[in-house]
Amino acid sequence: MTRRHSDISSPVNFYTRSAKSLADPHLRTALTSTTNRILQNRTKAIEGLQHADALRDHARRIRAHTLGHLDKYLVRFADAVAQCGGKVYWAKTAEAATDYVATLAQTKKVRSIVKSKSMVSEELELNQTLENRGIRVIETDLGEYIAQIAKEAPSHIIAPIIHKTREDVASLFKEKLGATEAEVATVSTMTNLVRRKLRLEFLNADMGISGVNFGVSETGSLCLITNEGNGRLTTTIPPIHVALMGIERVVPTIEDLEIMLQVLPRSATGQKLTAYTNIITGPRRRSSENNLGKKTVDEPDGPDELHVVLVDNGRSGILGSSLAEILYCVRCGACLNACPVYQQIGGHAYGSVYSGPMGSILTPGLFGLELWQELPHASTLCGACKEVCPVRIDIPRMLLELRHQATTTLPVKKFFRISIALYRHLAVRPWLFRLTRNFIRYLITKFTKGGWVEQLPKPLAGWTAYRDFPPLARQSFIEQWYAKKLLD
Amino acid sequence: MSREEVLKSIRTALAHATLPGTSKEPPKLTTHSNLSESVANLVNQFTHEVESLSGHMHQAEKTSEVTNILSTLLDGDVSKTKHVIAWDDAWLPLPNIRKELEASGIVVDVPKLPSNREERRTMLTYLAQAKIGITGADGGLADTGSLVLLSGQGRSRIASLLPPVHVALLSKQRLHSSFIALLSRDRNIVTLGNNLILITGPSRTADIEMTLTIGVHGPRELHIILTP
Repeated sequence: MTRRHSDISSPVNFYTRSAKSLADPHLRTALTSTTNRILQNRTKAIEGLQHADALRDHARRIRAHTLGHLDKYLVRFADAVAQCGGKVYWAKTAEAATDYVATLAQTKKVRSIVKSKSMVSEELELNQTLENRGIRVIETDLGEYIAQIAKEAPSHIIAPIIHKTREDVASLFKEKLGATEAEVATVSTMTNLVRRKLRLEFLNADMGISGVNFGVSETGSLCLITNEGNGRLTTTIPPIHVALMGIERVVPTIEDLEIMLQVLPRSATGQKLTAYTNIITGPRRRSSENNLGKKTVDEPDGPDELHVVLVDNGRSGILGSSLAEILYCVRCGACLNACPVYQQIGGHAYGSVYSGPMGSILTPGLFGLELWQELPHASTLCGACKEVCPVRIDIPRMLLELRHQATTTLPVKKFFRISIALYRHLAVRPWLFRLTRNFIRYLITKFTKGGWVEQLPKPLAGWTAYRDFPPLARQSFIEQWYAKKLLD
Repeated sequence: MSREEVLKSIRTALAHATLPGTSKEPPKLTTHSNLSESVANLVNQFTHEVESLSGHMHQAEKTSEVTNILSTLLDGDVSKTKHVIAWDDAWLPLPNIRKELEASGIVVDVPKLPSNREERRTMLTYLAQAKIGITGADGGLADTGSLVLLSGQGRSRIASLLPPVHVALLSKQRLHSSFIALLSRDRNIVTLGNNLILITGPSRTADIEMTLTIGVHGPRELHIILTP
């Protein structure tokens, strides 16, 4: 099962894709109700949190401090992972990361891999690399599994199939899994069907691949926050566990992790804690191999091998740029839910694995502004994203920064260049400006019907395609000003 | 070395990075939540939270009360052998639970997985048929209704994961007001085993239309038995 990732994850044309989404009333119904429901849950959860503002400020300070000393905390983290028996691989690029995982799988004669949700693996297009080398990969998060059998990319970092209704899922299961009517009767029966199917995959898998929500520097612990239990199975059942972690995901201490645990689930799903907060420190411990100098232990289960892949893939570049603040992001998805643009067009329209407000900064940051210069415009700059962000990232500031960068460093469309030059020519010459204004005011009356401008000729037709304008006022502000002054 | 390559780019970036709100020293939190509460209050709050997450609460003072609860849960099971997986008795707050269950004809496995890949697979496939997983708990968190389970000798991770029903025995003395309260008592707990898990209610999903569904890949029923 190969995902058509390169089809979806491509900067074809944001406007084409979003027009397609907007023309789909089914998608918009699904998006509006779901984003609103998650937002309400989030609001309730944050309101129920004592000292919520102080905690969010503190969480922000932890992210800022950690990134300011990222080299130190990462080295300490990697050393701690190694000390408890894990292997660490530092991957500068996507190719290095995917090649490490695929080669490891081949060396260990892995035939089948189970995966729990990992946005980094989506970013790296890891599944494709593995499948190209003949290794079977199964997504096990319910939403990700559905996206995988539908051959689609996830459209939300927390709710991967937010764009699908239960009827969509039911017909997909009938078509792809040969499910019976009874098996797709309710959300609950569909969930049961997936439990049965995937249970066999878990028991047969030779390797489990997961993401990491936070890596704790002082202990080398990995924290994974999940609800379904697939994350636990992926990291417990197969004999080899590979964890993919962005280099920015580190926190200094276990107490810092605790702060993140207070704000992340509440912002993501409105839960105080998700069903499973999984903290993993090294592989299965055996007394014979134990050299920690502590009491010897002989653990009955867990993977025999743990590999942590630290993924840079453009992150250090962002760290040195004016977009560094986006690395504070804890991937809760609240800004997607709150964004009036995301609510209308959904994740696929952005064309990147990271969508919504955070994605509109992260995507150009990681993959280059030239290919993704339309994304910073996918925003009304209303600031709802900054308002709900648990670590208060100033997303609007960076969207503006990216728009500015695009106009100063990239070629601008001829039409815009000429229009702006013309406008500047007029704007710095008041007499010419007034003359032109009077001319346009006269011209506009030719297109005014019943007090409204309903249709303008090309190339201005776009302005009136979806709305009517009032004509220019009979007296401009400055004319009224002078008229009033004379009266006085 | 890829390590040096990544670190070099990070250090180059840090030399001129602008990180709003960053500080030289690790930030300190000035507000603190209440770390100590009476046991009675903790029990009330914990019970309320667990039940609001569709978990089931029980109380037991003697081993026989625990085995009664377990027998009731197994009654609906029509398979020939009643099969549970459990933690070693040494880690359960009441004595002889395994012995008493076995005396009533229930098969109790205290698993230890072999290293060989095929043997491991065979054993896991067998263990996955168990109806109940019985564990102790290293702590309970009252503010979130969470169980804290640490892995270790005689304490398998799969006992709270593979079976459709998870029954945890938790001593009231191990209740804390919050995770930070537990950490302030014993912060080393995190590294004592390879796995520390906070379990907050049964396994759940809301991936399809945000419709809450209990029981996906993990246990669909969570029973917590409070013991003295």
